[in-house]
Amino acid sequence: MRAEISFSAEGTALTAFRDALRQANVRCRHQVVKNGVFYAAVPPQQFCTVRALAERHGIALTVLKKRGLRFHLLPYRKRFGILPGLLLGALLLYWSSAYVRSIEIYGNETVSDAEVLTALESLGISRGTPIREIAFTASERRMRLAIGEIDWIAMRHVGGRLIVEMTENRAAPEMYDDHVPTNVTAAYDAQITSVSVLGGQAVCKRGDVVRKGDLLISGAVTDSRGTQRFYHGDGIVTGVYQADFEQEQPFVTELAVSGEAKTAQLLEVFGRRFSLSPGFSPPAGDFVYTEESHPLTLLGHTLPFTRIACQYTQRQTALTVWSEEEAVGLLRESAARWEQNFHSGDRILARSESISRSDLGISLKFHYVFEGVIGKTSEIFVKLS
Amino acid sequence: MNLPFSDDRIELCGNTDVFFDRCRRLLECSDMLVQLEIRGHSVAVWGRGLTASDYADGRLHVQGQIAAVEFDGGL
Repeated sequence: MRAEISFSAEGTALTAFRDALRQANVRCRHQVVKNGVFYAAVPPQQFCTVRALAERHGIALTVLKKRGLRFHLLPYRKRFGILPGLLLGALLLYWSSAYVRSIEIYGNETVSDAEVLTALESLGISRGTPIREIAFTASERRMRLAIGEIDWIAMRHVGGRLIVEMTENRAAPEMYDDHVPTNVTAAYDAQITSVSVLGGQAVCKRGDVVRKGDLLISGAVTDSRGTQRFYHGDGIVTGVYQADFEQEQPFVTELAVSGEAKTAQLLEVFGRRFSLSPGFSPPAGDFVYTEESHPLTLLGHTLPFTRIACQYTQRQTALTVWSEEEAVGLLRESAARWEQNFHSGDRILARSESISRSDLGISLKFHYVFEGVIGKTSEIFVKLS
Repeated sequence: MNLPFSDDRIELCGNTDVFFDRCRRLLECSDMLVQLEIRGHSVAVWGRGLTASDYADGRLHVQGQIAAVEFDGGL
């Protein structure tokens, strides 16, 4: 925008004034005379000449308009905060895009975020790392070596955000090898209730009583000519068997409990942390440390500042005294968990419990009669010629 | 009678701009008439919404809707 001062001039010697302007080589633009008033516009540096000539010729000069950047900025010349503010803003903008402000990970399913962050940290990439120091291509290669599950990885940055995109390896399903010679043997002492042979030759039948380790389905078959062949013995053999669950619950136990909790606030700026809780000291002894990050926002935009709430919870132990009913309840809960974990597919035919008390605690013994699968596969180690 | 002048260039762009190479005086400058003097000759530019702008070395630029350019009072 060209700087210009528009003015109007009135007086009796207007023609002489205009001639004087021309002779003084004043670059007068948009000259026009309307109703005896002379209007024109001159560059600001020539306005002093115009004023002097106007005074000499007895012309009344009126400034109509000042145009140009300098006239816009003039009112702000004493605002001394503007320049430092602009510099500070530019510096902040530079900082927020020159350093890793946050790391975003996409595409990971089995590999956890923490695993990826740890691997990145081992490569020297974490929050606060200058972006110019990151060798993206080399880091991608090293990340693939560091985490075997990564099939493809790409790293890029958008301002101060480091974006890590990856796809993971899809493991092929495990092959079911049905060519290995195997037997099916009894896992418990049991009475057989059903036999279903899928491979090999059954050597037991329904109603038989077997001991633990007895052969149920044989993978080694000898034909009528005496030749022995090996097969993959496979099948489902169910039976009725007994099992016991025994556990003791003392009346007094030492349990870990949470003690005093202290919270400290930190401010994280470009990976550097500053305490917002002056004079804070973590609790003495053992404690559990947890922290929560709260990124600060302004008008819905995330700022490169994060408030971190750090919680220190003291670890303590407390002696807990159980009544007889409570102890029995705990033991029954344990038995229920054992049933669920180890015999969820079995049918419970009978269950009996016996409780024995002592000065120190209670012992509970459950006696079960289950009906379920009793056969387990065991490989035959033979040298085939 | 004034002698004709041929050394000074007067450039007319359409009917909106006239450029004079050397103008000695600006005699009249209204939105209807801009009259100037070149080497003793009077040149009048008639039109509507006329303005004149000075440049270095006596050059002059007349802007507006130009209707006629007259030399020495016309015919």
